[in-house]
Amino acid sequence: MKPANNIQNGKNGSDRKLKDLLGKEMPYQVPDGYFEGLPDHLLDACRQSRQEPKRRLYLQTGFLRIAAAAAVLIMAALVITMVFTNRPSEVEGFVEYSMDEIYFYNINSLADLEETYLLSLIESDNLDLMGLMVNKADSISDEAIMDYLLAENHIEYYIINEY
Amino acid sequence: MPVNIDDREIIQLTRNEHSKEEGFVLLVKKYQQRLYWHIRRLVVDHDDADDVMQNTFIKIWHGLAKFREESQLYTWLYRIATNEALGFIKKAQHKKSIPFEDGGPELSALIDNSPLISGDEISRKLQRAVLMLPAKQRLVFNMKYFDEMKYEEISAVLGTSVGALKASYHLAIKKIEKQVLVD
Repeated sequence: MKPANNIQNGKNGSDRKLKDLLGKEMPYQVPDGYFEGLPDHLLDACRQSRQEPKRRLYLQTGFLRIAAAAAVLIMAALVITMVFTNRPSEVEGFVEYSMDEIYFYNINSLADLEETYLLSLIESDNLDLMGLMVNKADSISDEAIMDYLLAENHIEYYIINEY
Repeated sequence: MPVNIDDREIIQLTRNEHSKEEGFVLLVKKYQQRLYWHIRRLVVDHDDADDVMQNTFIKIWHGLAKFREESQLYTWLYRIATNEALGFIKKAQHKKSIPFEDGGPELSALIDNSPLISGDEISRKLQRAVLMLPAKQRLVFNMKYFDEMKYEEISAVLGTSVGALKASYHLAIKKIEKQVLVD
């Protein structure tokens, strides 16, 4: 036969042992007549009391109020910054470049290309630029070239910048 | 003297505006001693227990209209008294910067320093050992050992499962035994 599990049965053997050893006496005392006068005393206290209004949780602590005020200020500062600053906009990863930036980018990119690579492109069958340029140059007269340059002010530009 | 009157009758009296005070006085007379000793064992000092009693009954006075008879009246009263007593201890210890679970030595020292505490050395020794227990074990021990409440009743007051209460009580007994034997 299995021994009874005292804890599971709620019949704690130690409990009985402790009661035998120490008893249930308490060392506490109350003033004479305390319980006789208590009902009237408590009734008076209840009559005078007012039910505390339930305060909302978010107003119960100063911390929460300060946190709420700080959050509002931060939001306002962010909105003002976004509306009034003139930073270049970046929309969905598209970066806006100025014309100067694009010009220097192209010059530098071409400069990076190796000369031998450029020559190989020119000499290839599909890109006979040198031949094209020579043929074109032969077919255009000197007069036509002068007319073109004068009409587009290219000579003025050339003289001013080179001399 | 405790009155022998049915809880439902008391509640009916308190629900009527004309008989509310009569019902309340009957309720106090019926339960004042049980609640006082429950509170006193937790806070130790009589004046503190008196303050907690007053706060407890003020809560009861204002809450009676909302009391649902789904739970037993004394279970509801015990729960309010327990919350008030623990709240009082927490507040008192907070003022002294003592964490709630470390308040055992402070409470235990009151046994030797407070007025209206006498008794023999054995009963003092028992109370000192009880006050050194963690709050939950102290509550369970007091309600089971001194008030002789059933685990189901304690469970209704504390909202803890019966199994957990049994384990808590068993641990409390072992700790008290050890403490008393060492002393």
